[in-house]
Amino acid sequence: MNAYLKLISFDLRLYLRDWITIFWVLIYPVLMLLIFGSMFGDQPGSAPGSRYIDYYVPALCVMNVMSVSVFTLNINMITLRESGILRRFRVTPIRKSAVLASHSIQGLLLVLAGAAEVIIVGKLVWDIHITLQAILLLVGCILIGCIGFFSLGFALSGLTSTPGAASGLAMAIFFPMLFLSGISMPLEYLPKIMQAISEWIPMTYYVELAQGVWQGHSMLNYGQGLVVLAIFAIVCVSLALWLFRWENR
Amino acid sequence: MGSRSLYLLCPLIHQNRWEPAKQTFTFSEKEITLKFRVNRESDPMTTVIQLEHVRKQYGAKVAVDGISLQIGKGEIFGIVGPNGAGKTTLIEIIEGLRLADSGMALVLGMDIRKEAEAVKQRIGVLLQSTSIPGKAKVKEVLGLFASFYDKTADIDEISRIFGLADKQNVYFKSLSGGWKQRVSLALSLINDPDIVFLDEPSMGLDPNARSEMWATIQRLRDEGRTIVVTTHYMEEAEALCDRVAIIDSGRVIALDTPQKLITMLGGTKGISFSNTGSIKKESLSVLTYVVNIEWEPALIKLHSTDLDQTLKQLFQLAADENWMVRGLKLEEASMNDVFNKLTLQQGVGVR
Repeated sequence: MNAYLKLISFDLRLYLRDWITIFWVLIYPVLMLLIFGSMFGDQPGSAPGSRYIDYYVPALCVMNVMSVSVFTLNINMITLRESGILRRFRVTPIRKSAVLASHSIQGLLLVLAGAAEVIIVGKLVWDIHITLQAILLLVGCILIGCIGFFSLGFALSGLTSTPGAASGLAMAIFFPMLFLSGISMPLEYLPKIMQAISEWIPMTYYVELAQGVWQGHSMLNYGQGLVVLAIFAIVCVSLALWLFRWENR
Repeated sequence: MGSRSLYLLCPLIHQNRWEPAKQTFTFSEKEITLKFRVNRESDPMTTVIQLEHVRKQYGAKVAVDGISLQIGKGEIFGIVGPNGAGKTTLIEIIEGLRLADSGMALVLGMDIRKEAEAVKQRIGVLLQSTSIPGKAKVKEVLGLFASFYDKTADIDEISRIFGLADKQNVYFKSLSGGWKQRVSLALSLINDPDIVFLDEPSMGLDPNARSEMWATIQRLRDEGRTIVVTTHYMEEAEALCDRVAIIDSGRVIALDTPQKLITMLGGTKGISFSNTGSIKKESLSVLTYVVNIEWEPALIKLHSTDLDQTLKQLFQLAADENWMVRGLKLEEASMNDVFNKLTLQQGVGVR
């Protein structure tokens, strides 16, 4: 147990010293919020009395789950492997579950920090309506999503061997999800064919769930989404464990 | 030492692997005592590593071809061989980094396949390349690795021994090569291991740093630990190891103490002297025990099967022809010769 805690605090320090990651995770969602919010933020949303900004805030919070997983966790794992650090760990009694757990916790901290920031900017600029219940449910939603999406990031790290290739792959996954899952713009604006595709993307259900609970709906209203996310999580966790490699070759 | 330094320049062994060391690896001038561990009696009769027909194949290439050997408690066991001979694969199988295709590897009486975690608790490993996160501080790395083990050595003591006390807050990436190697060595001892594996420990270190490294390794042995070391440097194998296994094409082609291997070779001895210009190549043919002559513009080297007789004849010849034997050097056969002879016999040599 001591090894787990030590590894988590060790990795936390390394993450905090990595300015590029911090910049990406903390600046990018706020930039997205400011850009899309200033274009459509004050337009009325589909629920009575709501504005688009009320949809952007939760969507960007869960977008961070995806960007942290496919970029940060994926590339960090590959860097650890490529530089031989995982290989050095492998000749010690530490287990791969400790390595994955520690990086998952770093990812979760980054996602929560990003979410807090998005909510605060939303409050300051658009004076969004915030309730404690909405925040708790959103955090719950983030935790649920982290299982599947973080595993996706770890699974991706098993597919490529260099950080360059990894970021290429990450972009190929991130940007379609960004536009097709209703984060950047409401799905109604998309052509019919795109809407059909979006139904096959787990992120779409995740964004819908986050936006719903932020509006004060119960999670139970999103049974189909939860099932999709559960299946997605099972598949990704299996892939992550199966594709985990201690060293390149 | 004069003729020994020639080995350093031997292109066959070093190829492109020689790189100038960036940092002298100097421990404190005072005698170092590794006190963080209770001395255990060395007992070569106790086998700590036992390999039985270990085999590993990558595609069509057989990296380790049915190796069986035993390593006793408290010995420095050297594994030498040309590049690609399979020595790294072999050491990685014993460390648990790689699974053998067949055969059995027992480490401290435990099967490395089944009890890898228990074995890893009791071994220390120095890998060939340093692999520590660059943005971690020395004390953080030491603390982290210590937490991985049930039993640890005293970190302060280890830091003191390796002169890391005032480097505790330095980022690993800011350390020079020699200091990185010290941190790596400290990490490999942090669990007070019974067996220490060192893969090419003096690679890239300058000669001074290398002899410091040797002194450390010998002290570790004197404390009753078993050391398994792979090396390219025959000089290192000869000076350091109690026993040496020469590996080529995945097989052990010789295994004994360096002295016995050299004696077994029954080899020739070298006599070299300056080529002063007044010596005629043809006249050297009267030297009866000389089997080979290396004739170079500045240096003549004779390979003799009987040193005494050849020297006698050489000085006689010089007196007869009225020239002087200048810059005379005698060379005993070395591990270098053993290595060259055995690996060339195998028709493989250094790739």
